[in-house]
Amino acid sequence: MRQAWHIFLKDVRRLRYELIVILAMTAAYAWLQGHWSPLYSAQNGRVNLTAGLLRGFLLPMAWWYLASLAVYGEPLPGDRQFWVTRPYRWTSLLGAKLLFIVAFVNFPLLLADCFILTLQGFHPWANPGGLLWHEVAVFAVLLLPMLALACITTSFARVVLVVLAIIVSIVVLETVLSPFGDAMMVGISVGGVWDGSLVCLVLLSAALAIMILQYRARRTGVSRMIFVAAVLLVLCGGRILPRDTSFALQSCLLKSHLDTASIAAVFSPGSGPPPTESPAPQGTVRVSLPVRLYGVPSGTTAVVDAMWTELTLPNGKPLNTSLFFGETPPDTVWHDALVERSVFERWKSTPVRLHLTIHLTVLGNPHTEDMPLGGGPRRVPGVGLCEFDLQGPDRAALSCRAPFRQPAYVLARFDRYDKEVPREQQRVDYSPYPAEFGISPISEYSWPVPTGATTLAFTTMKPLAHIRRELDIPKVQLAGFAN
Amino acid sequence: MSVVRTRELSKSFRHTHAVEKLNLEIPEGSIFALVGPNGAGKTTTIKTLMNILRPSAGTAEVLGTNSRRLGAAEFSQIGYVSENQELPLWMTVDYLMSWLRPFYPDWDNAWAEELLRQLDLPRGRRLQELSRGMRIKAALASSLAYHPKLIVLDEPFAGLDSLVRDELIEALLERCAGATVMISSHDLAEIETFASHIGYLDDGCLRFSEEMSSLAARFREIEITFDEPPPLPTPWPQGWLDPTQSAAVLRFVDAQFNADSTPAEIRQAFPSARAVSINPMPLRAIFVSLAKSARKAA
Repeated sequence: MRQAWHIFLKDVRRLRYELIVILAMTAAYAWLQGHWSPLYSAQNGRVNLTAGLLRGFLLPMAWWYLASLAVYGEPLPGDRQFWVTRPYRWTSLLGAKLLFIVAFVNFPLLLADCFILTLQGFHPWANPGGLLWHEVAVFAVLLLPMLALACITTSFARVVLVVLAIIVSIVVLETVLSPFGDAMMVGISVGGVWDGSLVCLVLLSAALAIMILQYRARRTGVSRMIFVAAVLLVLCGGRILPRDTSFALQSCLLKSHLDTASIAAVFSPGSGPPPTESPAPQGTVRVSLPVRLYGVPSGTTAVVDAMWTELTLPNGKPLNTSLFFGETPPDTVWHDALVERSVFERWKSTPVRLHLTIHLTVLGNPHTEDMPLGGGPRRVPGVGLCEFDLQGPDRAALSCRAPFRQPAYVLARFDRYDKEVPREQQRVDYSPYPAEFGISPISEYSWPVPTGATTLAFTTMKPLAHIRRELDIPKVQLAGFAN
Repeated sequence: MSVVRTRELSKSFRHTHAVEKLNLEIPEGSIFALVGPNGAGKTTTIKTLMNILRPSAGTAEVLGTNSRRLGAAEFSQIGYVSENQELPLWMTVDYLMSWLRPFYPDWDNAWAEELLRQLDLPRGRRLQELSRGMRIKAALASSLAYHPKLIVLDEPFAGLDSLVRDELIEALLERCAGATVMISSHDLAEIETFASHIGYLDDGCLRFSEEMSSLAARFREIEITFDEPPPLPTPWPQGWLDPTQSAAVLRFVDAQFNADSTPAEIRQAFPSARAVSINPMPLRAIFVSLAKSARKAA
């Protein structure tokens, strides 16, 4: 411990000027983010823009630079380093670097979080779990990978080159993998949360492995291979995590013992016309398939998180459709498939086999709060601090902010609706974590407000169960569902 | 007792064999000079011993510990200085010394002060502002201040002027009594003045390793004068290196000179010799002839 402290003090002395600049940047960010406001004005615009620039680019880059410089004090790759034949204990050296990052990135960020929360109207210690998780997430998912990258490079210029190479790889992979993305269009949040968690887990594991390998034995070749493998996993991993696994993981976390056996999904051809949609893209036909949910326990509601369709032709071959997504009015779930017009024309009158997989979340414990639109910011229990912003004669928005994360489920129901803005709008975030990943401790979200609306009612609910239902309809004529 | 011992130590870089099956022993208290031409594998050998590089095969022991397991305890007894070492250039000489002090339980403040004074190091200047020679002196001072049991110097005199070289050698000899010194150098003339043992590395292989006194005793330059150029004996004796003949004079190096038997062997091989001159050789001449023979053999 004494040696780690000795190395830490040396790094502080060596990087004192950089530290002053970065701490000043953190203080500036804290002040600007603390004065962040959703209300539209030139002054707010400047403050928000600068805070966004600091939060989204300058501070992470500065931290990255600092982490790299700290590691380069005792560089790991190469065979000419002065320190490798000195009596350093690897645990002390690694501990000193981690201490440095905690002291000059995490601790100032913690203070900044408290300052921002206070200025934004929240008590900083009201949610200690969120505060702690926020710091841990930034450290584990952002700072540790930065340190690990510095462990396998010899200069910040090389780090930048590596990052550029990764960005190019992402662009290439996005291009290569985009057909899969279009074909499956995973529903809301659950998949994203777990794909994100998988990415974070890969990043964290690789970063830890690289740091331990490098500081313990300076195995740069092996460490670089781990880095490349982790990058490839991250680039591909988020896309190949089986969707069912995501939902299974999500279900495991729920402790509720709600009996969901009564909930059934039924194909309902007689459900009337589908909700108004924008026209299908040229050369395609929209096929809207109605599904009704029955048996949802009283006091709860079921929300479709994701839905997948497989259409099989009489000859057993799958029918290629380019896009699937779900639409969920209150009682009927409309599932849309875009089918190429030529394919549709050929098969529209032939009965095809339809297989539907639906992932649902059952929500309960509703709590409703009314809020007049106008006046100053209002604290809405379970939602956050909400503010109405008249941005123009026919443009208004409702902006809410909450510490660390948004609620799992919020439904906003306005007393009016218009052509552009529906009466009911929902937000879903089933993330199991007490804080969202990000630099700011404030989670901000907004709704467009229908013209002429004067009040709204917020309903918050908690997820009670995640369930999966399968539907198999042997004969469906697509012509009957085209719109 | 050997302070350094290697067994079949090899180090390869992709398809290049830098060191091959090296068997080396450095006795305690010796000043061991590792010499050889450029690219012979001296620096690679030292870096492998210091656990800077991983051996491809074989093992090395330093101070009784496998080189792969050298850690803080062993390095607190080893002083390593290399010509191409990357020092923390932002530090001043004073800060370098005070920074390193807590790492070494045996750090001797008084001795460190004396080293700085005698090596005439500017204490308040940053290492990046110092000349190359001054930096090596600073590295040496920081490596001697804790009375290391083993001092490893990799080409410490390369590119230094003779004054600085003399100062370094003086510092080394005066202050390292009892320590084992391993030094690699091209500067054979300097090595000759103080090394007690010598190892010759060529093309990654250790050609020999022995005491300086026995090396000096077994190498002789032989010059034979004839009335007429004689035919050379076939086969040419193995220990007679680098033969050159000009008119009636034949010169070669005898690598296995024996004062009792060699003159008779020469007479037997060259019965027509008019005069035989046997001269001791400086270290530099020995290695030039060794390098030439190795090149011819290759």
